[in-house]
Amino acid sequence: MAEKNIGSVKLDRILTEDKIEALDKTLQLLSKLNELGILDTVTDILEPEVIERAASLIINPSTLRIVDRIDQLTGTLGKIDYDTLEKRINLLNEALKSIPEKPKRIGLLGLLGELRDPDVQRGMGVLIELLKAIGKAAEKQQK
Amino acid sequence: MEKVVIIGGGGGGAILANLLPEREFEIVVVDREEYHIFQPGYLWIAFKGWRKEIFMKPIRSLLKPHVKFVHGEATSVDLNERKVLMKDGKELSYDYIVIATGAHLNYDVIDGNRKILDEFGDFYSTVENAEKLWNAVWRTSKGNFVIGVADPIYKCPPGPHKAAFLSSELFSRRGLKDKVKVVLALPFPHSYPSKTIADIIEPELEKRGIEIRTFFTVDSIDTENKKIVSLEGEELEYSVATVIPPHEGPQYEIKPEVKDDNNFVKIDKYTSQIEGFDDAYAIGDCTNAPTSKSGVTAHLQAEVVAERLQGYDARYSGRTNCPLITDGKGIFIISDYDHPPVPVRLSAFKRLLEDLFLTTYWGAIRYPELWQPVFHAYFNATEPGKLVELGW
Repeated sequence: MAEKNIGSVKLDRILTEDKIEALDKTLQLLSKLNELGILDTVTDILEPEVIERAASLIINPSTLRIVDRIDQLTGTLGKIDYDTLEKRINLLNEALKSIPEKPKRIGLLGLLGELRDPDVQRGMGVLIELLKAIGKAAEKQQK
Repeated sequence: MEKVVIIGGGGGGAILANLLPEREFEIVVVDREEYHIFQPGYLWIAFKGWRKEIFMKPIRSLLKPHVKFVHGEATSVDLNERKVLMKDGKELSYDYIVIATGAHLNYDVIDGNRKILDEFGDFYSTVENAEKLWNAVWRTSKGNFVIGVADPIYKCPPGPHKAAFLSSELFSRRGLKDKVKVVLALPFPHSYPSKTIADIIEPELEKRGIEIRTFFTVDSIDTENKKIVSLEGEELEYSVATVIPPHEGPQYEIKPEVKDDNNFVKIDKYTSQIEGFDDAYAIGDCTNAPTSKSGVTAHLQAEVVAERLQGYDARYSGRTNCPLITDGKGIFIISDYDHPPVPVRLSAFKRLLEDLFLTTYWGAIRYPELWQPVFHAYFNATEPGKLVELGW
């Protein structure tokens, strides 16, 4: 009997108005989580094997390397011109697809021959613009 | 139920005790100390002035309720009779024994080592000595602060380097950057035994004006003239000095003779079994395992022994993961028996991981089931064989 009294005296001291409100709200939250079945689900998920699998998905050499450079990464990703990237993504996809597994060797004569192909000519048009832009940017970088 | 006696409730013993299933084993942990100390904390106490209470917890509170804790000192272990003799005369019999009593630091080998320990404290022995060092370092306003290493075998290989970085930062913050010089005196040809790591940290040491003396094996300390003398014949003056002493294995008797010349317990480096016995193991700093003496080693060996006691063929890969921190950044020294340290980039993220480790340490010992999956994923992802040339 005496122990119960000591306990309830301690509780009285701890449970101030604001703490009762906080406790009430926490219990409301728990009640909602319980209704939605989330409490059961979380309890079920918290199995060592599940945690290990999830952990190994999140923690691997690639993610660790990325996270290690997160400040660099966000800085670099932030500088990408996304409007242009969005417009040109199809062209990029096609360009990557076109790279053959075993490329042919084409010398000067072969090149001149390929230049008769209208597709190649159009490609040359793109390449020249690319070279001009890279050349200009390289000069800018040198300064 | 088989009885497992674990001598030592430190980084290896406590985790092992909590990993063994309650239904299968009667588990007894013996330790002559009441408290488990998070040893890397000595650095924080000595160079950041943190309170020692942060790094100490009663061993009893770290062990699961079903694990028995005996606060007492073992004086003799008989591996044939399967008995541990205690100082108070009691005897503990066992079905399995695990020796996890750590390394003994011998301050009486090098002349003057004990004197400077008494005068300045250190960051390798006790929380009280770490507090003493904080005071000694704080009182220093000129001259050299020398961190020396007496023998290549010592626990936490990057310990002296961390001390150099942290003390340098402290002197900087006190405005004494140009008045006090931090000197790192090491018995190695480079600033770190591994050249890969030395190449990464040397620019950082130089940047901060920390002097590196290589090929410096401490031979004696002349406390009257405040000089440290090396075997190679060089002298180093100091205002404050700390020398990490030679380490040895358990000082108590183990029958039959299973210790090497430095008293380290001879084990199979993969299984942690004591040579010649299938019911006796040793883990952590007390063994002769050819890898760094560190908390990670003790932890991983504890996991291996826990598995083996339950009948699984688990093996320790020799994996290390020693953190080397500067003030804002850190690296991990990642190696194992088959791979030397891989190149690791100094980063703020790794420094954060070190702080996170500090805060979750106690929970990781008490609740290994929660933390094991996370640690497994991390150790798996950072296997030196996987990181290879790209490093991290």
